[in-house]
Amino acid sequence: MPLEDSPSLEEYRQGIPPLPEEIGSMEKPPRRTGRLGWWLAIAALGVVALALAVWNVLRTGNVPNSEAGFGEVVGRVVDAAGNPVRAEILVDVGDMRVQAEPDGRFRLTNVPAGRRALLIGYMYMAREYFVTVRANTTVDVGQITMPSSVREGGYGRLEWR
Amino acid sequence: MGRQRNGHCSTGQGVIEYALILALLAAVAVLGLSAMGVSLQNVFGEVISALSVLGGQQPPSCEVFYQSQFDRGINEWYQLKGGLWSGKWRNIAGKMVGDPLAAALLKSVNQADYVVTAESISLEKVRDTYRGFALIFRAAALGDQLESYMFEFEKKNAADPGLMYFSKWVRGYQVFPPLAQAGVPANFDWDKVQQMRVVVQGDTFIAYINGQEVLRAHDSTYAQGYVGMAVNYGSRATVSNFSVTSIGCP
Repeated sequence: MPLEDSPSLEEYRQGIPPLPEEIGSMEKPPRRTGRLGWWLAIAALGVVALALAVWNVLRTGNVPNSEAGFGEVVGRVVDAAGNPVRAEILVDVGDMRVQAEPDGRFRLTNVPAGRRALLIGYMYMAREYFVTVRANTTVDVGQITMPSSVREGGYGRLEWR
Repeated sequence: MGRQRNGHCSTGQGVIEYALILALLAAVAVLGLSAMGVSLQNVFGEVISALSVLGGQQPPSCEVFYQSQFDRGINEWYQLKGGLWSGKWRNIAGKMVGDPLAAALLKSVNQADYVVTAESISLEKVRDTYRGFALIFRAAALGDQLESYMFEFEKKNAADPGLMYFSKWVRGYQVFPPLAQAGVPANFDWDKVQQMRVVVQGDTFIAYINGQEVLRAHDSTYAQGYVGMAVNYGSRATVSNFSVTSIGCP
């Protein structure tokens, strides 16, 4: 730059002037709309993720399986004709099991609260049911129907198909 | 994007927005696949398996846990006795012969993942009902009460075309409906099966009959256990070869 084109000291009396591009930017209002769009997209994705998470929990039943306290499970096991079945009822914790009464009714006490798998077993065959046990409450699983036909040959197993 | 001299971003997107978008996209993708019933663990497992096949790689350790040592007698097998299991396995001329309702577990293999193979299985018809044979895996035996998985083929009676299924045993009870089921392959020979194999890896079980994949199931109740064999009510089985190897052995 020729010496005659150099700024004079007079121009720096108020300090260093801003660069031309910064003058432009200082005059423009802040661009909020672009950023707002991103946050809206984030919020939308968050809502979708939350909805999918809720759907997965509802679909698979993956709720926490350990809660404090103990509850009870009651029910009745019958065969296809409605006759009581003295099935064995097992729970997926420890060695908890009980045999149904002659009228098919059963009561499991001191079942740890949470989502539990009940196994209704009879003649070497079982069906699995899932129940949610709440502390200090009784869950009634109602009437459970087991297959009633014994396998051909009578070797003591239930028929399932 | 405008930028002030001090370097702070005043407009446009910052690192936080980009990170949030990426994280949420990943979460939506994972949750979406899960909602459709796709297991990412299985997908990744299959991808790794496919890549290792493409790359001609074998897993570093191909281990044979057991290989047809029937000539050592029956002592290395634990026989389930009582309850349903009224039959018995015997060793005859270097082959395992199982009576109806016989079940036995190999004492020496208690692992998580493995490949179980039974070969040259001859099935003698003892009764018209419930003919069949089963491979047991990830098993524990509480006296006569089996806790395990089982892959079996079963023919209910003469009119039944037959069924194959994976099932779970819990404290001596076989849980129904099974984990997975399918009809037997076309031209299935109920008197002789050349090879029956189950690949047990993670929560995935794949069954093969004569080298052909026939059924697949998923479950995570039992993480490891013994292997074994069982015979159904209407059959007597003779098995010439039985092996247990690690995953990926040729």
